[in-house]
Amino acid sequence: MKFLCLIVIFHLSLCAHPHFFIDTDIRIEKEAIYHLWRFDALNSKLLIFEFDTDKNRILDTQEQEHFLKEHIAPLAQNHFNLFFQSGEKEIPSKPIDFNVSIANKRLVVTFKTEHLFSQSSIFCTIDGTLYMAYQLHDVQSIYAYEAQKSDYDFCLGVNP
Amino acid sequence: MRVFLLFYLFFSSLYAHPVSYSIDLHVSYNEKDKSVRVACESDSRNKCGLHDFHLLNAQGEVFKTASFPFMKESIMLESPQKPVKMIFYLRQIPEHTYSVIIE
Repeated sequence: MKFLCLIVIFHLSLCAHPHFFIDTDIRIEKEAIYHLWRFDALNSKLLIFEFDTDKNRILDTQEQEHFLKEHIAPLAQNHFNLFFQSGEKEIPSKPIDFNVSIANKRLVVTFKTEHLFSQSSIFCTIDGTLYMAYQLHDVQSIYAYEAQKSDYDFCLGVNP
Repeated sequence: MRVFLLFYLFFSSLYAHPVSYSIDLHVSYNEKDKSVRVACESDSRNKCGLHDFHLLNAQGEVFKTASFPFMKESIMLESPQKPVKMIFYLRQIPEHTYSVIIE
């Protein structure tokens, strides 16, 4: 039994942090980018179990705030995994108007970042701390764009 | 107990780390143009853009620091001297570095 426990503990230590796969939809408008993060089915199940405390399949304001505090607020130290480069200059972005909901058994987070596209820009969703994998699912843009994506992150070059 | 262990290892392997990636760096110096070209290849090229780099002289002093661009394979920088070493580091986690000795 001790041997078994040691193996389990050792194995857990190898994958010490949680992993999220997130399908991402992006909508680029004139003065803002609208983001939709759809968590994978397994993690959605775990997160909904944890944060939908009254089990009514709806996340009320208090439940949303709890989720945002636990899982989104800590991303602030990594710029919420969002990178903007306007011309040659990298500029900080601040996501606002967060909403958390449940759709088709998936946990969905939406928010926007304000950005006036005055020149060619690059926008990336990428986790440098190896914590979350973002897969680009859909893009709608009023401007021409070029996407560079992998299974774990993506960048969009936008030409207004 | 063994069945439990097998099940645990099987399912935890399904939950394995999703984001491992490689970084392959190439640095070259053009004596004629006095410029340095830094190229980064990765199975996830976007990762290259998360890095900054220092160029160091023979005394080990940093004489140039720049950010590697997103979505591009390389960056060209003016440099009056040939660098001896490059330290390529994840700017969110500066202690996460790759070093290249330039020949």
